[in-house]
Amino acid sequence: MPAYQQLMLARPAEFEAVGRALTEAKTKLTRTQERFDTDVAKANAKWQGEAKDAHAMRAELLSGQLTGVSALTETAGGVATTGGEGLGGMCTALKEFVESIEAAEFLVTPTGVVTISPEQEAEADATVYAAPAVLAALEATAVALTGAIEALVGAATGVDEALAGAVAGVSAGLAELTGVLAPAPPDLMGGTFPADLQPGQYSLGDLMHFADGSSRGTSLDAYIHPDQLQTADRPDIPDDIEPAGYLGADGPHAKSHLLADTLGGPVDDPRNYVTLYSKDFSRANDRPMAQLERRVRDVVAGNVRGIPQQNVRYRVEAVGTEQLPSAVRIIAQGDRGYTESVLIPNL
Amino acid sequence: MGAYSVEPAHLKAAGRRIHALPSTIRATGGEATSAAAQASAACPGFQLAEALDEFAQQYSTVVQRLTTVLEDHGGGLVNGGRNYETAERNQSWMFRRLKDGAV
Repeated sequence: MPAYQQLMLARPAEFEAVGRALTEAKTKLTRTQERFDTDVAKANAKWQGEAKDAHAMRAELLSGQLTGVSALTETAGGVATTGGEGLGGMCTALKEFVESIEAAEFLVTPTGVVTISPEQEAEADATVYAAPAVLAALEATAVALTGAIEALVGAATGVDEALAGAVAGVSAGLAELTGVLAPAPPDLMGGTFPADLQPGQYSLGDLMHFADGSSRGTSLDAYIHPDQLQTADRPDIPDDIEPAGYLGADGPHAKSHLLADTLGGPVDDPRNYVTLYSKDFSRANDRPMAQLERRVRDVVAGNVRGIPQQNVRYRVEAVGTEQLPSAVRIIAQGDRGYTESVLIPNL
Repeated sequence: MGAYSVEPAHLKAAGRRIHALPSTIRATGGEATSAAAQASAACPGFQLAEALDEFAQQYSTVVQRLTTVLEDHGGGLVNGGRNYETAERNQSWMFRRLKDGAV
């Protein structure tokens, strides 16, 4: 609650500046919503099917939320503007009233109490016989003027309270919308991704062993962070790493990483290797696997226009119980909605 | 699942535009909180100043969320377009491999 002195010193025009800022914000929100609706319509124009329908529903929800935020911002801006004007008028009236009191030679204390000035006392004394009556009249006037100031302060306080209540109501509405705007991203891995794995870390599954003494990797979970990405000086795979089924450099295979070295996978851990068909740049390791790894890498690095940079949870499973996996299943899920889920046959 | 048709390039183009939309509103949160802070300094003791301060903070938060949600929505469309393309590319790769007698 503003005290008398605060009302005297206040610059309520600043509330109007808040109103202008919020009105401008509302205009930008509306423009954003209109563009969003236009782009959604363009996306949906040549798209049919369940995914399109789901997208349309999600977009409609988001458009409605933008409308809600716009409306609440406009309301708050309106209260700030009209409130600023109203309180500004009341403060001005109070100041002018106090100036008129002081012009009549009364004193006004910093708490808004009106008293008789020494000049008024001297003038009353000069009347000699009427001095007590004059002083009493001046005292009564001072009390009345103090009451009038209290009334003005009370009125301004009441208006201030009412305006604050209105803004608080709008804030509550905005808080409700804010909560709705924080949806949890879908979990493609059904809660099975290791909860303790931090960005930049990975966890390799156990080796699968075979009767001939060979072995290969089975699975991997990684939480890929930009710091993990290798850009140059990719180390060679050590000669002693030889996953089950690998037929040597002249064979049709590659020693394939579950987590590529370019994504921060280890080169010297046999659990990170399986044998996949390779060569001629048209087989599993060189085509779909390499393409996927490049896409994930680009997302983690923030190099895809239109997709936010994000860390990616990355799960690889070598399918089957043979020396050569029959396929590699990969799920990639970014922190901000990027997803891929592919099954790459070992062809 | 019913029939569907899609032009992934169309999705990606729309997604990129939506992803860029928050640039229009990103600064408004800071502008609102700054204006409200100035009003608080100019009008100490006013409940309206406190309420506007709180609203501006809340508005700033909602703008951050909207920015994220819009970027992610655009990213989802781009990602969707890429996934359609990936499925097509992988499917054609697999049939080519099978045609070549890989298995």
